[in-house]
Formats: sequence, C-alpha cells, structure tokens
Amino acid sequence: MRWFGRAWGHDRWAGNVAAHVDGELAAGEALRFEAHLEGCSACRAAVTEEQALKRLLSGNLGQVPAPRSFAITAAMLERAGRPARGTAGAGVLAMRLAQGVAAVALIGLVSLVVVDRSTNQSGGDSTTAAPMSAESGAAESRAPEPSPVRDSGSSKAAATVVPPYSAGGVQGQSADSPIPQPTAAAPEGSGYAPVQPAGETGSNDLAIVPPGPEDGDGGTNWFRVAEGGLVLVSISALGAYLVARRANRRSSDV
Amino acid sequence: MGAEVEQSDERLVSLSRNGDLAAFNRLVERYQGPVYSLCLRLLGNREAAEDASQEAFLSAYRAIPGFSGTNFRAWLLRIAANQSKDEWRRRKRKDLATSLEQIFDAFDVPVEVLDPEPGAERVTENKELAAIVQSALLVLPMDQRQAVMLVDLHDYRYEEVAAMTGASLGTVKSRVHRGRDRLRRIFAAKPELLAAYRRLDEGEVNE
Repeated sequence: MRWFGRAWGHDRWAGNVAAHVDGELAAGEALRFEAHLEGCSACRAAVTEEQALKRLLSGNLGQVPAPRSFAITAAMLERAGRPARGTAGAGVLAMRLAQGVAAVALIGLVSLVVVDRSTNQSGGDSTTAAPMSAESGAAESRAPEPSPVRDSGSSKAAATVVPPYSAGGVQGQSADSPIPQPTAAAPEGSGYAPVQPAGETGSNDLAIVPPGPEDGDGGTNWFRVAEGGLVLVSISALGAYLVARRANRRSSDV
Repeated sequence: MGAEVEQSDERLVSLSRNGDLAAFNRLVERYQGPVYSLCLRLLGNREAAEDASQEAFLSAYRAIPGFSGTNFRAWLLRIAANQSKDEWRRRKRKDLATSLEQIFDAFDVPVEVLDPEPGAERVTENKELAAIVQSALLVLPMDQRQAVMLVDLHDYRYEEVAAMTGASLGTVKSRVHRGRDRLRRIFAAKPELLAAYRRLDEGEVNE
C-alpha cells in the first residue's frame, strides 16, 4: 500500500489512464477518476503523458494516399477464383493435402503392421517374432534385429535368420550390410514369408520364405524401414495439417 | 458531383452484392486511402502494405454477398487489419520486423521536433520523426498495434475495435493500455519527443 507520494487508490486507477484519455470510461467511473486526479499528481502526469503520446502517434502516422489503384480487375478475380496466392485458399489446399497424406500414410502403416503381425504369427517362429512395439519408433526402423540365429540344422551358412519384419528387400547385397547376421539360404520350415518380394533374386531356391533379396543380408528390416518411414510421414503430415489449420483459422475470420 | 458520383455506401454495397464490379470499385476508390494507410502502419513496408491492401479488397469483394452490416468502412478496415496480420505472419523476420536497436539508432539522428513554435503541420511533416514512430509501432505485438492504430488513427471506439478484431471489450482496453505503455517506454529514450507534444497541449494544435 502506498500512502505517501501518491494518492490512495492510485494503483487502482493506473490501468485506466488510457481508457480515460480515450473517453472510454463509463460515466460513473470517469467521475470517480477525475475526483482521484484532483489529489493525485502522478495520475495527472500520466494523463498528460498519455495525451502527448496519443498526439505524437496521430500526428505522425496520418493517412497516406494509396500509391496506386487497388481496383479489382476481372483478371484478378479469375486468379483469385482458384485458391488465392498465399492466403486462405492456399492454406485450405495445404490443409487438405496434409490431411490426405497423413491419411494415406496411416492407412499404409496400419496395413503394414497388420500384414506384418499376421505373418509373424502364422510363422509362429518365436525366435524371430520381434516385438510389435518396435513399430512405434521410427528410429528403430533400421535397428539391427539381433534375432537369434535359427539353427535349423545347417551350418552357419544355412541358417538364415529371417528378420521378422523383412518384407522383401529390394536389393540383396550382403556384404556391406551393417547388420552382422549369418546369412544363407533359408531353412525349410520357416514359414513366414510375408510378402513375397517382387524382385526375388533367388540365389536360393530353398528359400520358401525368406524374402529373396534379403537372404543376402538378413539384417535390413524392410518392414521396419517402411513402417518407420510411414510413421515419420504421418507425423509430419499431421503436424503440417495442424499448422495449416491454425493459420487458416486465423486468416479466415474475415 | 452529381448524385451519380455521390452514391452512398449502402447503394454501392447492395450493387456490389449482386456482382456489380464497377460499383465495388467505386468503393475501392473511396476507401483505398484508409485501407492502405492502415496496412502500411501495421506492416511498416510499402510493398507488403500494397499486397495486403489488394488482398483485402479482393477478400472483401468475395465476401460482400454475405455482408449485412451497416458500417462498410469498419467492415473493410477489419478485413484489412486481418489481412495485414496474415501478411505480417507471412513475411515476418524476413523484411518487416524492427528491433529496438534499430529504433534507438534512429534516435541518434537529430530529430527536429523541437522547433520553438511547433505547429501541427510542421510536426506532421517531419519525416524522421514519422519514421521513428512507425518503427516503434512495429515493436508492439500485432494485436496491440492493431488496437492502438484503430483507436488513435481511425478514431474507433473500443467497442467497435472489439467487434472488428473479434476480441472482448476488456481485451481491447488492455491491448490499448499495454501498447501505449510500451510505446511510452520506448519514447522515454528520447524525452524531448513527448515533451514537445506535451507543450503542444497548451496551444490548440491537435493534428
């Protein structure tokens, strides 16, 4: 409480100086404020200052003539008929686009996961069944799946671990795969070839299952890669959609 | 001159509503000054202000079939204010934003407000001063800038500004208050500025 130097109640009025100068205080309030001004030099000074500021603004920011005509031409309307440059029109377009991309990516993701899961289950291979939780992490997409080698009897060359999510890699070089996994022809019996890769380069006919190209490098988990990619795409499309929607909402209140 | 020329806003608006482009362009002619000025003050950049003005008129033309109010000018300025806001957002950081440093640099330039006998005209003509005031304005957040401009330059009541900007009356009051407060603190770096206008108080020089 300031009792000295300023009139009592000063703080209450300090926020009303602008409204007072603009003549925006309600009648009763204005009277009370004026009564307060009588005894409060600080508020009086503030009022004078506010008036000077108002004058400074209006004196220096007056109206300027339009530099050219803004008359609307038929050509403008034609252009504007389609989503106008940069404004709400484009915003709506961006929003729809993002929405569409997000939807497609999500549908793709879900079907991938479903296919993936079902093939895994039907494969019934406990050793290779990767936890589904992996799908949540895009970063995981390339994670080497240290699935234990399946010893289906053969030498190390025969033991192909079919990584759970491998959806038929596209290229099957093995050498430079970062994932050190035993490679080889697939064991018979491993019955979970999810999607038979189109480009089966098939060095091994034995491979009932394992996506051909993959047999070179058992590690690259194409299911995961695809899922990770789709997760990323969905997230960014959703983000873009939200941003566009916000921008649109702001600009559309015309 | 003739009654033709002096057609009322209402008449032109109702013609425009039916797609009469010529009628609408009469309105454009009538209001392009205020619209452009508002955009220029809000954006501080000619090119941006021209873009915003043009877009504002286009939006207005497209939206006019739905306009049922009586105050065309306020409606139009509202569109212009919103358009400026969009333009600001679009260009922000690229070429519009001003920093306090820039303003204080400008303060170093001698500004001649302090003529012994400041007349309204003289003061208004002062380009350096106008530039300083303009750039100080650009430091404010857009909402405050809009409120201060609409109140101080276009003489709208708080209530009208509230309707125009879709804010509550209390919000407008607080935006005006905070906006002017900020400006006052900026101008405090050059006390002579306001002092000159305080002195004008005594004369009846009011812009």
